[in-house]
Amino acid sequence: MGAAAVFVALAGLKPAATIDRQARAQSPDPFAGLKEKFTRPGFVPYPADNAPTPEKIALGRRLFADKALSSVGTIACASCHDPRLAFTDGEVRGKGVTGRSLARHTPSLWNAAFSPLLFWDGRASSLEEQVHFPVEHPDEMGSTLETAAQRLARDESYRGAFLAAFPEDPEVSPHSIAGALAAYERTLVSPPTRFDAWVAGKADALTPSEVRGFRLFAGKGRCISCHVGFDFTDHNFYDIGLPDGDRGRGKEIGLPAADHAFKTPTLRELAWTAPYMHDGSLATLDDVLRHYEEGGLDRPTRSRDLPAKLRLTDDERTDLVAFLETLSSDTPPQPSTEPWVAGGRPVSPPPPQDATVVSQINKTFNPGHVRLKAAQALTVLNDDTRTHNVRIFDAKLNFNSGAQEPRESVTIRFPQPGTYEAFCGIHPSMRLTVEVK
Amino acid sequence: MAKFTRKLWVGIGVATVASASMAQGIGAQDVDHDEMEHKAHGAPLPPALNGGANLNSGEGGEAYLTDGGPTDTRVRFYRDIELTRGHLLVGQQLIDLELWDEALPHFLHPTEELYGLMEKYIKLHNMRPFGRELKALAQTVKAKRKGAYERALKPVEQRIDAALGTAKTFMRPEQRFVVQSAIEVLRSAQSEYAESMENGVFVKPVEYQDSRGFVWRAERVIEEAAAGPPLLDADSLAKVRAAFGKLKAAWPAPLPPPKPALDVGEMSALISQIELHTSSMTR
Ligand code: HEC
Ligand code: HEC
Repeated sequence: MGAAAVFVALAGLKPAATIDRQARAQSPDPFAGLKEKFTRPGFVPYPADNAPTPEKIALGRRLFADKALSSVGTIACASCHDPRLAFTDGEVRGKGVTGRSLARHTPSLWNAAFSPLLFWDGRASSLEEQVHFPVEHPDEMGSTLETAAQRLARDESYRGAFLAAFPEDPEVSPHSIAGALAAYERTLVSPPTRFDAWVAGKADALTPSEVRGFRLFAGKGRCISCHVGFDFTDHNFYDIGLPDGDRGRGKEIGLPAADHAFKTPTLRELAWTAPYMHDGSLATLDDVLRHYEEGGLDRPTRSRDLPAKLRLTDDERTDLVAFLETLSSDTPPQPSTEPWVAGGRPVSPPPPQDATVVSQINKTFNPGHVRLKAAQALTVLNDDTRTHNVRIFDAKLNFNSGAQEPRESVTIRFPQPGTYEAFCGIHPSMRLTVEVK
Repeated sequence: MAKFTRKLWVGIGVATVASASMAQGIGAQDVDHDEMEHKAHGAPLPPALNGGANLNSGEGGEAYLTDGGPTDTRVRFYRDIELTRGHLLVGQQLIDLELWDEALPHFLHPTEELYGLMEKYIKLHNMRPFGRELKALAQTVKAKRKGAYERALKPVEQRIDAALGTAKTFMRPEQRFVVQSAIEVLRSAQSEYAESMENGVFVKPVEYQDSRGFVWRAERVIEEAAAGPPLLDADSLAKVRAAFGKLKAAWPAPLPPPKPALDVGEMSALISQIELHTSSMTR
């Protein structure tokens, strides 16, 4: 973090060439701090109750391509998330069983395993839960998981495959269908590209123009404040000023401050996934840059993490696009075959601290795991420059702080002992675990 | 059969290029340009401009690759751009007929062969690459998705236009290059047409289609040039158009007819007429 901050500060003051020379004199790799933010993770997180196995993944892959999951047997997941098209459909808005255009653009599924919430508006909180939506959406697959399970259970080869994938509970059920599909989707990790080789230390893996593009991405363009991590997303929701009337995250969580906010998409494999954005409105990366330069609609919900005015020269534009293109494979992308992709690691929260005040800072809860004594209240203070929110969605407590502006705090009382998971509805990568004694 | 016509093709190439006054004009400019390019790569200078005489007898690749061809990199690049466009054009015509499987080779060829030939020039002149865009387009054809195909076509066309725009800044006067490149494209068409036949019947529809796309492009290129400042008198233009009319009769549809409408000799005579009557544009 330190090195990156220094770098960004320098980038604002000095011409690029000076930075290069200075940095080289001071440290062997001026980008070391930044590169750290983009290192490949080395494991795929999965929920403790759905560990991946080769059998489960194979079943999931088969289900993904099977049209029997739809009402009339015409549409599979792969009809819209076509593996030949990098798990997209290449349409502005796709069509399902009814032939009616869907409300939003079909996203690619790259790196969905790393996304705490799914869909452009984050309405599903796990890949397992997500599966219900397309199967049951009247315009997508128009069926139910129950119907699909009954249909599949009549097929002997499927019964064998479910037995191999779920030896403890081999019934063909909505639960096992969702579990297998989710396990397969977690393997859709975007493969390493030249950019990863550069991050790993191969200095000539990127051209000078591409490196200049990365510098713009991290500096002047401020893209890095949202597109960060090996998958180039912080998994949060922002209004970047696209003009359609879709309220996105705001409608989903009933919070006007999050109106027109959509999930930051991954920037991996973009060369293969046009068109772009939740509404599919931008056809090329040039169009995307033009959008960021023009700034989009200036409304109260427009993210303050966007540069107020972004002015790029023709050369800078070329460099930035050249950089973005290094995040795509040179040939039609296939899921990564890195050994860690098939393995995975169950997700676990950081160790707890005894604290009654938690701050929201730099899009994290700090600390991220607290322990309270019975009857103690928790205060959450917004120490950030952005609007936040505290959401707890639990059978014991349904809590929503509403919009919490910088310097505002909320106090939460917990009705009974237990573990509560809180998150920010706008920046759901902000997670807070509260243990109440 | 194919071998015979290829020889014939080379013969015409030498004769016409050697006799045309444009050879000298372009040759003079060409040296500077090529020298620049080859210095940049530390490679030896190419053989002096001598028409189609720098023959490689390598195997594989489309016929025009092994047939020598222009030594001026600008003409070669322009030709390859137009061959790419020709593939895309005939591919589009097949897609319009819902013949996706027939169309696919015309999207794979540019990515697998032509782009590789152009890439060095693209890098040298800092043009925006379009190899991956071509591959993405081919994927949409593999997937047989019209909407995705139409969307993927746009960035390819935009970048091809931009690359040719940059290349044209090295082509002065432009008309000469336009016409010479179009003639090269016609020669490639003739080669492919000859390839597509055995004993007077079509056996290779893909080559037949290639040649169709190429001729359609060559005509478009010449018409566009003719639409500019009048460099062609009305009489010559009428003769060029008449020759194209007769030439195009060889490809009544994107799929080969049961019997060839033109033989290779007739085709080469028509191409020579086009070359003759456009020669005033190359002065
Ligand atoms: C008719 C087209 C269609 C079909 C069929 C379809 N999807 Fe989708 N998918 C979409 C669209 C559109 C979205 C975005 C919707 C939104 O965000 O509101 C989406 C979003 C998703 C996401 C969220 C990705 C993210 O990063 O947030 C996942 C995961 C997903 N689909 C998986 C599947 C699975 C699994 C199936 C089969 C059971 C399936 N989809 C079937 C069109 C489709
Ligand atoms: C404030 C956070 C934020 C910043 C800063 C930001 N983005 Fe984005 N980006 C997003 C969000 C959110 C979306 C999706 C918006 C939507 O669909 O409504 C997006 C979408 C995109 C997409 C489309 C991806 C796809 O698959 O649809 C690209 C490309 C992109 N951004 C590149 C950039 C670049 C380049 C910059 C810097 C100039 C940048 N972004 C800055 C949040 C941000």
